[in-house]
Amino acid sequence: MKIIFYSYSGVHSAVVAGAAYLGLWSAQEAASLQFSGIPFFGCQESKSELRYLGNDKQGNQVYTLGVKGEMELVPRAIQDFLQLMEIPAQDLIMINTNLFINRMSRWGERLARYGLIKTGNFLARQGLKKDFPLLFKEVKKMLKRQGVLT
Amino acid sequence: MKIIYCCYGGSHSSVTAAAIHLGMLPLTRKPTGKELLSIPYFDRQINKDHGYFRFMGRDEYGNEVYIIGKHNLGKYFENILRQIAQIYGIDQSQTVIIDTMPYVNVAMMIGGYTSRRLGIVSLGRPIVIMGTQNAFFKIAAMVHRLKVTIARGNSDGGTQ
Repeated sequence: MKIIFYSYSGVHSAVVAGAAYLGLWSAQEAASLQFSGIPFFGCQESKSELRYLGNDKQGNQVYTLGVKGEMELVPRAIQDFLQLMEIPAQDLIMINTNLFINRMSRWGERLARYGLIKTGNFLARQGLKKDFPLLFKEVKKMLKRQGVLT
Repeated sequence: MKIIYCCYGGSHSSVTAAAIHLGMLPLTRKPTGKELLSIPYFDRQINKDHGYFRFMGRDEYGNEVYIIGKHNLGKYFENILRQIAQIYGIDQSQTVIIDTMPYVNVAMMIGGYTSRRLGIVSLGRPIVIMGTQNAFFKIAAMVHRLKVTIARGNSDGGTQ
């Protein structure tokens, strides 16, 4: 199975959620809310690149993706595309991390995607410091609902 | 092979291209409004329909032709689908994705927006039909180029 965390930029809330889920973010870094150790965090994103974060304990591959403002259209098109290619729908889980972040993080992701990387990353980092507990709690809840976490 | 025509809403340029591809429209003259409206999905899809692949038919070589509305994602849309295909090991040479947005003229934009987005069909539809008629031969030429390219065994387009 493949799990894709997606957001506006795909390199902020999506990678934070993905890295936290995979345990790539050390407990020390998480406690001090330092995002610098997270792979791909704040890197330049302009092509909607699918980024591989790693495999979880069950062997599921975890990716992140930036979908710009198309939070509904892109997952819908991907699911439909897989159906067209005769791949079972349950082989993919898509998690929208944009739902659990505040306005500051959203603007950060948006600005970074538009090329204002420093400003965007700063805002996203500040926003995510506040959002992280809710983000991770909701992502866990969603993964439990999908049967990935017990 | 799967041939996917995509535009903003999957209602006008992509549908027209798919209809030309499948021989639903005459190529020697501009289609009438009635002919355009008889094409499945022409000026029909709304926001909630975007992002779904709609099957239009099979061409003379057995290729499946689809249309889809992809909003303003432009080349990112194909990027995303290609990356997804890659991680699932899907043979990408059997999928051709064609963005028909470069063939959309101002009348199609205004008419399409008025009819599909604002819902004022009586006003927008005649404008979008006129725009589609004006763009018709350009779209037809693109489809012809694509079909020649596919027939030669190269699936990477020839559409630009």
